[in-house]
Amino acid sequence: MKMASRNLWRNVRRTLITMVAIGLGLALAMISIGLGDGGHEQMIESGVRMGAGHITVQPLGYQKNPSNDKIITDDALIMEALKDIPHVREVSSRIVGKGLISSAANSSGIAFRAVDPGKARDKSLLAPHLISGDYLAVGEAGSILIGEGLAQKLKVSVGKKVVLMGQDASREVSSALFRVKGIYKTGVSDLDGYFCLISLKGARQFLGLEQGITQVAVYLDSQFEVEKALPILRSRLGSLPVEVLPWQEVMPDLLRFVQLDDAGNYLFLGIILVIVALGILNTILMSVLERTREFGMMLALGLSPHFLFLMIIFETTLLALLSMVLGGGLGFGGHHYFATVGLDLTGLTPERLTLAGTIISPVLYSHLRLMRIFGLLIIIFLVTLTTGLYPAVKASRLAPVKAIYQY
Amino acid sequence: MEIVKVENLRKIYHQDALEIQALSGINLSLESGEFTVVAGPSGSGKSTLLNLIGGLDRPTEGRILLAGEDITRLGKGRLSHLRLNKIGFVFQSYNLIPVLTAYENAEFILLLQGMPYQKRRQHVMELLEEVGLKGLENRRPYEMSGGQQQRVAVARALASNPDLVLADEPTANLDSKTGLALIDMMLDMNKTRGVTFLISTHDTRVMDKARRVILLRDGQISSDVRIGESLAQNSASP
Repeated sequence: MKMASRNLWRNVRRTLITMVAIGLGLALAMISIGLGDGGHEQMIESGVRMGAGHITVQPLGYQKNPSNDKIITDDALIMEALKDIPHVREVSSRIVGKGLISSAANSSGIAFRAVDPGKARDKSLLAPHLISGDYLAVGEAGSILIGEGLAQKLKVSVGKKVVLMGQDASREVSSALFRVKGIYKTGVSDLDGYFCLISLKGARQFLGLEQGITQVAVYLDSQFEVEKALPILRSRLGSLPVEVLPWQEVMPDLLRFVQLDDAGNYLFLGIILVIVALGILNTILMSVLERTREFGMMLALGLSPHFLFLMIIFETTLLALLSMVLGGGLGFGGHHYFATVGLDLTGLTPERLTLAGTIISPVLYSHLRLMRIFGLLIIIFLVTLTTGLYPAVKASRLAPVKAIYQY
Repeated sequence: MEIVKVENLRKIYHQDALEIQALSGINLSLESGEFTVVAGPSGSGKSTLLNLIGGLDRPTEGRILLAGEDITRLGKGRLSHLRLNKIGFVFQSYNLIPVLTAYENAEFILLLQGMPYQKRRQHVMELLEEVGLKGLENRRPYEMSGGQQQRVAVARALASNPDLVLADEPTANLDSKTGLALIDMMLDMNKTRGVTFLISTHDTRVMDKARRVILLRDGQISSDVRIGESLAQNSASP
């Protein structure tokens, strides 16, 4: 061990350069994974907030074939089932559907969502994006929020009347008059030109329902709790004609985008690892080649090839550990900076960045999970160790007499 | 007691299509406690003979018996073990481990043998004092002169109390005064410890110190003279 440690510092400059190369590789990989994961989490949280929660409870078959007549008549049972499930932060009952909106000037196909105006979570979806008018008030039934694109198409402004038409629960055409309470602008054209928000009370009047909902959005502390909460909820609601779906099934496009982006990140990580491996191979191989004579002499004195192999592997391990301490420090520093200050891409992106139907903040915040760091450290360590194998085997197979007299 | 017996030893090197006969039919025996010099011009086969006797290389033909054991039949691991426990080496260019101190270099073999720390320390300190390096234990090779480095190499070779010390041109890189002092020291070790020395050299002043001189020429023994005996040549062609 002592020899391996001293051997490493024979050529201080070379060892330091290799340590910096490996360390920078690790740091870059940590920052890249942190920003990638952080970005994905922001996207997923945005998608979950704009969509139907981390977990969605809806009538059986609704995901495959959505229609306004699929109703959960007694949402009290669902609310009861959701009690005491760990990590459930908020629950929102909704009616969602599709219909036709008309003004005096024009008409357009739309998707609507009816919520309890008192729920902060639902309010947070569009209230911050209002460019005129106000958010829905608790208790009111005849108000509607529409996007800027739709308002322009319908040529309406706040206070104007629109008519919503659709199929009610008994598959009859129904219509209701609403007054535009507010106009929002998210920057997502799918939302601004297509999505309307009304109150549960208004939707029930429009669809001829006395009670009932079409969807319960379950919000958890974070997306990582889905796997824990989902089976509990599924077992509690197993007897009801509902489907309990995680966000991945409700928003498959978002999931595919995250998976594709992850694949790109892994490719980048792979390139970094190859660079790291070449750096280590260069250092260890050079240091073995320049010591060929010395190794020959050691073997001549009676050092076993096995011991020589272990000595070089120990040198490699030591180099890997020191580099990982350096890289880990740099990586954590970078991660901490990007986790608190964030990576501001405002200058490089459009005013409002949207991906897979979600609004993406132009400021990315790094988020590193312990398992990811642990996995990365193990990979770097194994890459380093594997790279050291070739020089170690080469040294242990030296013929002493050749090594002493020919080098 | 016969410590080394070499029978009909041949070594042929192949260099591309060229066949080089380094040794051709060497027969010799060394008794325990001998101080023998193998002399001869460059390319006569001195180093090859020492390497084969030390188990660093394998002969093309012939047998080498070390304390009765045929080392030409041993595998890598057994040879390694044999070198560690029965043979000490002193090389021409010192060949110390540059990252270790004089003490640690001399200690190296004892570490491999697994000798306990206290015993090891006492043994190494005694050896270093014996070779005249007391006070220089903590110096690295680059902080010592060539003579001092070669003394460390001798201490390392003797550390395991070997049956045989093989020294391949140990004075070649030393000035004559330092070289002779080293040989005197080895002679002293031979007398006090009874260790068998086989030294290759082409330095006549070293030959003068030997009690037996084997002269090699073109891979064959041209003479084998025991000093003090009447011309005891027992070998062939000039």
